[in-house]
Amino acid sequence: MVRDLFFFIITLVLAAIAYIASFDIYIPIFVVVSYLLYYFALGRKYLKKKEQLVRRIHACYHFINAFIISMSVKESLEDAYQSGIRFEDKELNEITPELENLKVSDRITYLREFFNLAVFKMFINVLNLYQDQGGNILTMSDELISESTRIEKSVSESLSESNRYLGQFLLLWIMSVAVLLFIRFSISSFYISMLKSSVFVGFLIIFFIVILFSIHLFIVRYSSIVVKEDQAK
Amino acid sequence: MKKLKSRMINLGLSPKKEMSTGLLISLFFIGLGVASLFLVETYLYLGISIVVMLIFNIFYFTRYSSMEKTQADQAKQDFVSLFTFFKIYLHNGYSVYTALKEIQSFADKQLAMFLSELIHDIDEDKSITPFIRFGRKFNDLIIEEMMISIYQMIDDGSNPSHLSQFDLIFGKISDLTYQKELNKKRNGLASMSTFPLVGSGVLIIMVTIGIITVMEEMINVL
Repeated sequence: MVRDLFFFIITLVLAAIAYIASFDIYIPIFVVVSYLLYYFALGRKYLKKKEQLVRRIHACYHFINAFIISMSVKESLEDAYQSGIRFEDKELNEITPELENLKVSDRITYLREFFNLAVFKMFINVLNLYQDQGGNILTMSDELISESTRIEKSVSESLSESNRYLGQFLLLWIMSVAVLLFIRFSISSFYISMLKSSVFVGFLIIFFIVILFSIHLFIVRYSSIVVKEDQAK
Repeated sequence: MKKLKSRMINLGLSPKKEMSTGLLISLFFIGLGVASLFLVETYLYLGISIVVMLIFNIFYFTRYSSMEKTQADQAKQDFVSLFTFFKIYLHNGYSVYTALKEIQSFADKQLAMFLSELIHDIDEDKSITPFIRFGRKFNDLIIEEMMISIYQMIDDGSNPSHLSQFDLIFGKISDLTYQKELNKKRNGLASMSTFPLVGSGVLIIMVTIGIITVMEEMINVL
């Protein structure tokens, strides 16, 4: 919601600038239509997919760690499962009450579908091995915990890098748009004469297309998170 | 031409589709140039269209090497993800052979094929050759080195130092790959700062054209 509002405000601001710079109603309309069309058809999907994946990774990391620690202390599947799902995630909290009637192993199998991460499949394999052969769950899961921690860490690093570059990207575009406004107001009468040239107006449109194209590329790179998903569920 | 075709096939692209796309876009630019010749009656735009078409073709048909590099990087990344699970199996007491079989279910299409070839080769040939052959598919010496250390675990299974050796080499590969991955993302995002510069460039061209147009009008009036 906040994300949609943010993009909508940016679109409106750019449309207003397009009007100020062109004195033409069609260019701001073009800006609003193309930007919103892009956002709702493509951009939003990328961002939503990324947010979902990040949430799943956080929840999966928490589940694996809490489950293993609780299992090593209480040695009860039910208690370990309850510790695992004690995590504030909207989607996870929505599905877990529906699974209460199932056996713990079936609940975990269902969660495999939900998380859709290779590391969770590995967790199930380690758990099965522990149930078959016994032993110390903490020792058996040592490498698994390291891997899930590495995934969590790399996602956090990737997110902080993305946010850092988002600020830089926005700032540079603000400065570029400020150049346009500076030209528009500092040589006002001359600028109006220049607007009579169709090539001039064409370049103004190209400027807004470049902004949209760069937003698209940024969203694609911003939302890319490399994590191995479950191949065969 | 044959070499180009085989490169396209190796990348999972259809040569026919690639050629027809390149041809169609080239024809579009030529058509645009010819249309502008009739509309504006100047060869300038036709020339620009031909230059743009040539630039497009150069970029279009030379992008395969970067795609091959990306594919090789992706294969290494998949290898690291997959062998992380191999390591988990080993530490839980699985034999090398069983662990290799188990991780097949985690592998992507290409890597699953490589693994099944490796397992098949191990069944046929008990020497180090299948491991080296598998390692060479990734064009990385350190991966070959790791495959040799895996072979040593089979050859001299009772020696626990081989597992430590494997852990050490794999840890190195894993760290390098994840660092590379993060750097790739960082560089990708950093390169986005060129777009506002492109935008400013467009504005400069726009103003230059505007000034020339106004001056041209003023000269015509005089």
